[in-house]
Amino acid sequence: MNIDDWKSQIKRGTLEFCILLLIRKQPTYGYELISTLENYPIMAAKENTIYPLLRRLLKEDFISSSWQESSEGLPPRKYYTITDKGLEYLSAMSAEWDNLINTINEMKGI
Amino acid sequence: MEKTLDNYLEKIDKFLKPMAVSERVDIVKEIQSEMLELQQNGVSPAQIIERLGSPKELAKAYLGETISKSSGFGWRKLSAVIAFYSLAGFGGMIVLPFTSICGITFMFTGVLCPIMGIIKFGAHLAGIEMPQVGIEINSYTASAAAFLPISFLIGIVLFAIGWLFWKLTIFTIKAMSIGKKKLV
Repeated sequence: MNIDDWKSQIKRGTLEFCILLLIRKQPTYGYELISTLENYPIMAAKENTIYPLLRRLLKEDFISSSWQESSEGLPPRKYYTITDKGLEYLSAMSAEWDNLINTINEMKGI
Repeated sequence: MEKTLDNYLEKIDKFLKPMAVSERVDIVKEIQSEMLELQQNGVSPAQIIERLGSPKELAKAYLGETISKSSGFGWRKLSAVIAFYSLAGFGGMIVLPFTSICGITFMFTGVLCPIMGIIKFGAHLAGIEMPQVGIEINSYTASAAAFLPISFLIGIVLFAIGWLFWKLTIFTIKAMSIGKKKLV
């Protein structure tokens, strides 16, 4: 029984969903996103996963980005904001997610 | 900024050479921003590098994403494929060279074939015969006029085969870059 394998497959399929949900809450920068995800072991992912993924979401116009100066000697940060297209995609994903949860609950007999 | 961190960023920049300069600058700047923030939080340069992983792996992750998401064929993409392949290690040393070399060779010969047909036909019109260029099947030898359309047909077929190999290359890289390793 290799549950880790299955967990990593779940993560692969849902990380994009989680990232868009977090960015929708408020404009976020890369490291902030990674640290937030670190609080949730099932979704924790490293820089080499998150940054390329953010790039792809940018290219597909689901999110937009802007560099912003930060206060007191901290470096400028690249903030990501969700776009209208991203919101549309997110609502479609949410619908499918609910669909999945309902299906599983039904199969579990809840 | 610490020298080891600077070196790290330089390596990333070097590995990402096939990408557009603006993209590369942006990527390096974003990683640098995280490094500076971690330093402010009291994380040591060694710990920062451990966290980010080897520059090779990080650059490979960016390249993999770029290749699998852009479509079409171009020099930039070709060089990205080559760069990715050079970072991909042994796993990519068997399939990728085969499919990418076949792809490029077939596409090249696909273009070359009709060019030779045109040259032979042109030479024929000018009164020069070129028996070294042409097609022969058993006793049948195509005349310069007949060889012209044949060369175009063969060219199209060869180019299509090359294109399929090229697609296979992209598909393989895509499969490798979303491989399990990435999310460990």
